[in-house]
Amino acid sequence: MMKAVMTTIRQKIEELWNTGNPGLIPELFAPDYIHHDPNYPEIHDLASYKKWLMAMQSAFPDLRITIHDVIESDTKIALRWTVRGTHLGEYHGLSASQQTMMFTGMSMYHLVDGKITRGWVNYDTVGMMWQLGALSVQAQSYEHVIVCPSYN
Amino acid sequence: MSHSDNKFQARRYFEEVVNQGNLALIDELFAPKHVCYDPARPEGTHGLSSLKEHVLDLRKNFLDAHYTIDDQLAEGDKVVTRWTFHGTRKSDPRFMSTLSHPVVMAGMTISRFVNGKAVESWIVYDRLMMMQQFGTVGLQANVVL
Repeated sequence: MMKAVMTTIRQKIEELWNTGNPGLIPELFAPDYIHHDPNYPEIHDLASYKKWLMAMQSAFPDLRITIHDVIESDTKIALRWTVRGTHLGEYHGLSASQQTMMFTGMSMYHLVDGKITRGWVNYDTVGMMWQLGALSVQAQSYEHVIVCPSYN
Repeated sequence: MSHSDNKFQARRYFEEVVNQGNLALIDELFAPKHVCYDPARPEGTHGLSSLKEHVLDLRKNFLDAHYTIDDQLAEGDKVVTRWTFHGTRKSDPRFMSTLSHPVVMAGMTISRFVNGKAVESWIVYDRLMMMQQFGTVGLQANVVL
């Protein structure tokens, strides 16, 4: 893939998250885009993806993504990022807590003709939900102590 | 070292070290000062003895710890590996439940290589789903994820 295409994709993803401008979605993603997030049902169309993103934007109006690393090949791009935001609106049944949150994650995208056709995300949902006060701890395990992300 | 060499080295950690229990291979795949950044350990896991302990714990606590490599990409000195972990957690009196729990977890690892050895790794995985599967945490009842 042309370096310029990848640079544009990185910039547009940053812009999409930081401004919440849904007009960027069809510029970035193919109409039959499939989105894999282990915490949500698979998304198979842009209307559902837009709905999901708008729900995030409405729950966290000051949502900001910082991209730390970009790794790309001919047909794939991976991003490592941190998302920050303040919980000012209802989020998947969780009423606004006014808490700020910060969590790290990664995305991997497959591209065809310069558009993203398939994406996978993984992020620190435990850190996120803990900061929003939505987690109840039933038992601590030695290897999964809840900590909040603090590195860049 | 080429991209495909680095991809192969990244793959060997999952398939040979964890799946097959070849701990000695860690010295070949990772530099002595390797640091791993994990949301569960933001201070980083430093060095190879702690990495070996981690693999031993994983293999001790899961009856059948197994990684499947779903996808890889490489650029420059970095490799991204997308994986799925399968395992059955042994019962542990420290947990609420005494039953063994089958666990499935998706994640990604980015590794930076120098001379064919990983010097730095970043990992992120579906920690919430795993902890819910263990019964160690619960989400507020009204939260629908």
